[in-house]
Amino acid sequence: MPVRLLLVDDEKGFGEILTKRLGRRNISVTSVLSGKEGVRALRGQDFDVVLLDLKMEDLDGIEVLKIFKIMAPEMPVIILTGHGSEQAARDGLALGAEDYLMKPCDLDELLGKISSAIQKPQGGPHGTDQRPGGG
Amino acid sequence: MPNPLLRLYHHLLGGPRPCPRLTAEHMANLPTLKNSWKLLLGAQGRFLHLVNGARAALRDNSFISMVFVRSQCTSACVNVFAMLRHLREITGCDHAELTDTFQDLRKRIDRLIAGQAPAPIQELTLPLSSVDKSMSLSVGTKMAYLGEIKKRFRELSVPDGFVITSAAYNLFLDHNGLRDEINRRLQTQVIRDMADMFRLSSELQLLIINSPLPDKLQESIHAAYRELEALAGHRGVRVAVRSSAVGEDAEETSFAGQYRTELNVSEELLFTTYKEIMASKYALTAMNYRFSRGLKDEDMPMCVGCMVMVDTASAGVMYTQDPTSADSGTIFINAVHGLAKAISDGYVTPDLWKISRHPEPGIMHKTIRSKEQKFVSFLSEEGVTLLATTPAQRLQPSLTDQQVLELSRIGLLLENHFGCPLDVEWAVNKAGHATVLQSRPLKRVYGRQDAVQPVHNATRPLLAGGQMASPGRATGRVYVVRTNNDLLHFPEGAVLVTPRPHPRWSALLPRAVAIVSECGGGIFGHLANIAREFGIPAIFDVKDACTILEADAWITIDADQQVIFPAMKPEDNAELPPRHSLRDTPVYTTLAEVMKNVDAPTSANPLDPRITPERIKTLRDVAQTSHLLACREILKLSHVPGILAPLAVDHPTNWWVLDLNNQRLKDNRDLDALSMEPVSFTAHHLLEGIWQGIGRQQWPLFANSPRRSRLLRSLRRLHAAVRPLSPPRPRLFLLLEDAALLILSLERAFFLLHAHAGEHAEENFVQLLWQWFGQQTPSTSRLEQLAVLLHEQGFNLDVAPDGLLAWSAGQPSETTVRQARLLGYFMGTVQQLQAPSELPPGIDLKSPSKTSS
Repeated sequence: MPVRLLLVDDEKGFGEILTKRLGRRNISVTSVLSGKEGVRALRGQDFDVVLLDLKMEDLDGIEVLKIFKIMAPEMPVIILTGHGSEQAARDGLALGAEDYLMKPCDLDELLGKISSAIQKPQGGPHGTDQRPGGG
Repeated sequence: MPNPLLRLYHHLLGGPRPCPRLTAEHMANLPTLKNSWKLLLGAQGRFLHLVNGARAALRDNSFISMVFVRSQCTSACVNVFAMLRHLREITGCDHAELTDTFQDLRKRIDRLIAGQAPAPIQELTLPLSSVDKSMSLSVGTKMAYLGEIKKRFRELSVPDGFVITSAAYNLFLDHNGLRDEINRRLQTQVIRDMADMFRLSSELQLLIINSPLPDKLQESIHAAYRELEALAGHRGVRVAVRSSAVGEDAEETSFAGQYRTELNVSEELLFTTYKEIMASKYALTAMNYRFSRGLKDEDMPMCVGCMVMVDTASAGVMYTQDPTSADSGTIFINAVHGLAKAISDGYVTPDLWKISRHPEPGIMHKTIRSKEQKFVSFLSEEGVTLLATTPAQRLQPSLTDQQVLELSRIGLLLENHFGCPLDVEWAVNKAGHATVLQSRPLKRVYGRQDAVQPVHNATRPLLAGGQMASPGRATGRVYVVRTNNDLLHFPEGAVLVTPRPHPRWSALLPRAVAIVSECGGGIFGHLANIAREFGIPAIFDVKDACTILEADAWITIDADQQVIFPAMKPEDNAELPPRHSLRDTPVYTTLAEVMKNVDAPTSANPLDPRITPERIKTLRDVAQTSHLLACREILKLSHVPGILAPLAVDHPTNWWVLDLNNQRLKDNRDLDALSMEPVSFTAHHLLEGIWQGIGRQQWPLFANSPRRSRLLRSLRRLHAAVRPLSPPRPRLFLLLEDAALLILSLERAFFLLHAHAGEHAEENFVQLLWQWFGQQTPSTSRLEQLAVLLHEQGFNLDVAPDGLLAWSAGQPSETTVRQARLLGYFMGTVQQLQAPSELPPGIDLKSPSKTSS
């Protein structure tokens, strides 16, 4: 079964390219453009991992993260940061996010973070096929 | 009339004075004059402040970027240009000679700070087969080397490909107006810490990625890709997209792993990937690298190579000589199953072969390691995938002996052609044939050649073993780096301990003193390369280092012996962490060259006896000349009868004040009726400051007179008594707004003390010109003594053959007033024969401020 990933990012171009790239790695991406849509998407289905941009128009990413952590405390959230939000990223880590990545992120790095986030309960990625979804 | 008698006559009658011409006109133009004068002073203050900043950067060997150099130079030229403009407004003359000299200087400076000439090649893309080493400015160093190999060695396998040139990069930047925008952001953003650098890096990269490629460029890349498909004989060719920056991969600055490389890229994502690779010029690691290596940002256009992916069975890196030893008889080959990324990014510890070069390549030693992971590329996927290897595969050698020897022969062939030891990345395809992927000069750093006793041999090591990646020894605190978050908190002078030598951690090398990694292939890999460039000792493949080495513990690592010892606290250690020097870097050299045209006055008083081109060689000369010409012009006002006011002080000599701030001058056009009241020295903050300095000195009347001439002194006293108010006076204060100018013309010297102390610190300055005449030139020892005194007080000192300039700029008003006081005191001192041994209390700038004399 492919990894189910929720991408919450209001930058449309970035989302499209990431969806395309991850799609080829056996990762099913649900891309939404706002925090509110993200919350709505999470109500409708479960996800294995979330990529969350901290800087969005409608809801502050940190608020979205708090809501996500209430709705699905076990679901790993990886923060994406752009301009000037390292402090927010660090706040996010304090709120239980797995890790954070600076935009534009390196795909290998992102895949590494995704696989370690979803494999964590099983004892980490060492010595295993690191391809998300086990492909 | 004999000469001494003529002098006596002149002294008695006040001498032949210039006619008071233009004075009425001057008075009429007073408001304009005052305004131009004020602006001229502001520009001069800013100029001196810039010179001061550039001097400090050169002296302290502090961090400088090309942006800094460029902005300093531009501002310096702009301010001197402004001074010239205001001088023209003040004098009404064009000062063509001075302006021409300035323009010549500006052109010279522009040439020095200008980036490299535009790429001679206009093509946006070029097939790799048409590229050679001479084209490195257009296609980047990496592709120039690879193209050269493809062109010269038909028998060697090099992938087909094309290069997106620097002309394309420039077109992209210009099309989107990015050049100015990037420079603006680089210049305006303040970088205080790693987080600031992160933000700037992210901003600049997104700026590039979110900008569209011009149509012309898209078409050119499309066409080049179609040709590649034709060469490959099938559609949908997957390419490796590699950075090839101009200046990258030079021997001294390898940029190993600093820029992005994307493997297995399809046509669909080619444009995006191209932009991402251009953007990686501003990746955190690359920006840090350029800053810390003093490289010019603009001189490095990002060219990109697109090469057909090789169907790789195994791959690796070859060093044609040992990078850490002077021994030149060994070739090193590192190899893994799958793509070489596993080595360069430090994922696995690779197999190692050592090959003797003479007489024929022969394997001396091989080490086969357990390789638990490998990178592969699938046609169905974009990019590469890290796979776990099967237990059977792990210990299988990644190359056969024949392949190793074949690679060695290739290495020797290339080394012979390029004439230097090389770092060659290669791949062996599934049919077993070797292909050269890239090649660059190998940076060599030698460790200790003598058999040195291990350090702390009485202490039990914390860890021993692993592979030396960069030689040397260092002591520091342990800091374990696993995530990006750790990157932000890495302390200065710590030992970087990490599970994997990721090239991204090279952003930390300017702050780290040593590196310890749990895996990685010793001298191979990007982080090892960069560590050697920075001269930072590193040991890789140290098992369980992250667990055994405790955070914050002090350790000494000896990379040459591959041992790690517990260490004492730094105050007990004689060896300090090595600091990186920016000297001899391109940016530093450029600044030093530029400053030859900016700084250091050729003469203290370029106006004496007249302005000649040989007296004006630097921007300082132009500024100083403009300043003096403006002073001369504005002092013509002192010819207006009755405009001078006596300074109300109890002093043996008369001092005069030309107070242009005086309200009465504003409306009073009836110059004949003008008569000024005595001015108290407290009337103006700078006048007060300077007077406090001057007043502290003993000023015997005509102190400058030779001791032998008592008669002359008496006559002068008489002269002073009978002509108390005849202008102009050789002791004259000129006050205007926030500036004060003191002119003191003595027989053995001429002094001009000028201070500007307003609310904008960057416009404030204080400068003393002391010009000496002929025999009165102070001795070298006296000058040295005075220089020490002024330097101690924080002044800049420029000594020219005819005099000296002591100055300071960019200080707040209060400090400037205190500096003016000190220079006033200094002036009073040097007009005597004895140099001061020390400063009296209240004059010293380091003592608390004093408000009364």
